Amino acid sequence: MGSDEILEWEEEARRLRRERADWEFIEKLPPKLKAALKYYIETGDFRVAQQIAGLDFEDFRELLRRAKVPIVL
Amino acid sequence: MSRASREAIADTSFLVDWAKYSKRDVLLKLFEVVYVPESVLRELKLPPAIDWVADCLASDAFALFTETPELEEEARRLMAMSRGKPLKRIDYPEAVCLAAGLKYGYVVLTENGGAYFAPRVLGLSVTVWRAFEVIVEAWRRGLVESLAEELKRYEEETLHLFRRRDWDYAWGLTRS
Repeated sequence: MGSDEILEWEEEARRLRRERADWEFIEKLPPKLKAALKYYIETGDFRVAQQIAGLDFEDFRELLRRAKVPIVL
Repeated sequence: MSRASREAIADTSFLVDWAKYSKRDVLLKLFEVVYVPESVLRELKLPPAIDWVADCLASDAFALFTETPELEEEARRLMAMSRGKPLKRIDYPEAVCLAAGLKYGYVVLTENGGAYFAPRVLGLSVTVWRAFEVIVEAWRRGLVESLAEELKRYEEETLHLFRRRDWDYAWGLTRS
């Protein structure tokens, strides 16, 4: 698998996360959680986003669900 | 995919979402045992994942995997390798699963991008499956009836989205 294919995958995943996210919900969140969700939507890096949020794995996964941000892989 | 090992090792990202899938027990028919690393088990705390994993451990469908110092060292080597490569970095619990897959031949079950792309980007000889590959294999073995319906069900129940390329692959399988 080349870099081009990974970049194409990243771009498709980012587009889907942006499109499906509940931005109204996200904008009302406390700054730390809002920043974490925006980071995840842009990068798809769950572990770093989880650290930004200061949440455990499952709590951050639940936050993604509430914000309607899909996992795309 | 059919030549894969009958043993698997699952990370947190896979278990947390797979446990929400109403046909989650097909996994138990695909593998003789699914190993759960201690570092993964420590991350599970909410139902349905923690309840399902506990039930599977009690019935011996799952087994606890204890990391050895050698495996931890290999996991950290993989994490270091992933930095600077064009993929999401691999973090510790996922790296443990990859290291165990490399050492013991287990199929690695993950929904983590870094772990999923690692074999191809880092040249690792390990089989990594997402829910997509698990459902395709379940369909091939006749454990689920409609591949498209199951993929859609998984998307809806877990808030996953499969990529266009995956859907194209699935349509190709069902037409052939």
